[in-house]
Amino acid sequence: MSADSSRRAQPGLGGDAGCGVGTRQTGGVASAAPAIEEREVDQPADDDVVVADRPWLVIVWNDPINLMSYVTFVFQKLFGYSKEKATKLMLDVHYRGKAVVSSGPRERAELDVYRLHAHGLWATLEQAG
Amino acid sequence: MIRRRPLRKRAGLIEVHLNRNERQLLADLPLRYRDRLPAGEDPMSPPAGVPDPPKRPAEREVEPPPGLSEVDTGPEMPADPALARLFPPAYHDQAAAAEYARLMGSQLAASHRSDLELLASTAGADRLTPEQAETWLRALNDIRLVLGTELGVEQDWDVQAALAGGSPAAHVYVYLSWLQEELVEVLAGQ
Repeated sequence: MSADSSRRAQPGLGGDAGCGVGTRQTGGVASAAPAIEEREVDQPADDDVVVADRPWLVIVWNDPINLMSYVTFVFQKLFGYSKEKATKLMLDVHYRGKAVVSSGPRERAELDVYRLHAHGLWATLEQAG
Repeated sequence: MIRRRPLRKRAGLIEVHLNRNERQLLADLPLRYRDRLPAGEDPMSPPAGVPDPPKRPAEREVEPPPGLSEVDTGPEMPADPALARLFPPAYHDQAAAAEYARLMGSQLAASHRSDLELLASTAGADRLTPEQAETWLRALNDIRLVLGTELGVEQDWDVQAALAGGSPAAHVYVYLSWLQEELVEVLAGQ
């Protein structure tokens, strides 16, 4: 894969992916009906449900050391992708700097990231926006 | 010029055609890198304390992945940034990355360790099973990642200049890259 020299030129960047729980207001759930009995509404829990519905994306980043052929091979092996799909993803990583290689529930995305790390690829996960 | 084929697939196995010097390198080198891996029960445990709040990414077409220096991987391996390439942060968010490293770091270190040890122990083999050959791939890649980081390999890295400079590390890097490429080709069935 090719170099991404900007990676080193701009260290220290970070995002808030992965810790958005409780920061998103859902709204629209209030009812005009009078309360029959006092109930405590657990608003953060409601947010949790909404946040959990959005899938987690596994992203592979470009790096200058991993071989293009190896990255393609790893995509095929780990995700069962065809040669064509694995090659397209590899080229996206190579030319665009990154590619989403899988998505799903957080646990599965974390496992995918682990497997990619075990193969030496530079992978992160973040929740779909 | 006849292209040399160090690895060939035959009857479901991968034949290894390497000379004594090559095998010696593949027996010794992985163990040197294995010995640099963090040891202990919880090698990736983050330090105590509250991590810095996440910063907003700057506006750019493709934001960079989280830098290795952003996540403190613990006191066990602070002086070996090249080795940290084997333990990339899983999240942009520092706290999430530290938590992930705390949970998965030991397992990841054990995986790298096991791969490197298998390469070393089978460096003299005449034939490899496909599983062993895939482990070779990962181990060769691990070594290349650390070595390449130390060499400062980037997109515009000048291989010829590095070789002409007489750097033994550059020669090893180029050799391992060639061997890994050959191995991928054989395993991918091309």
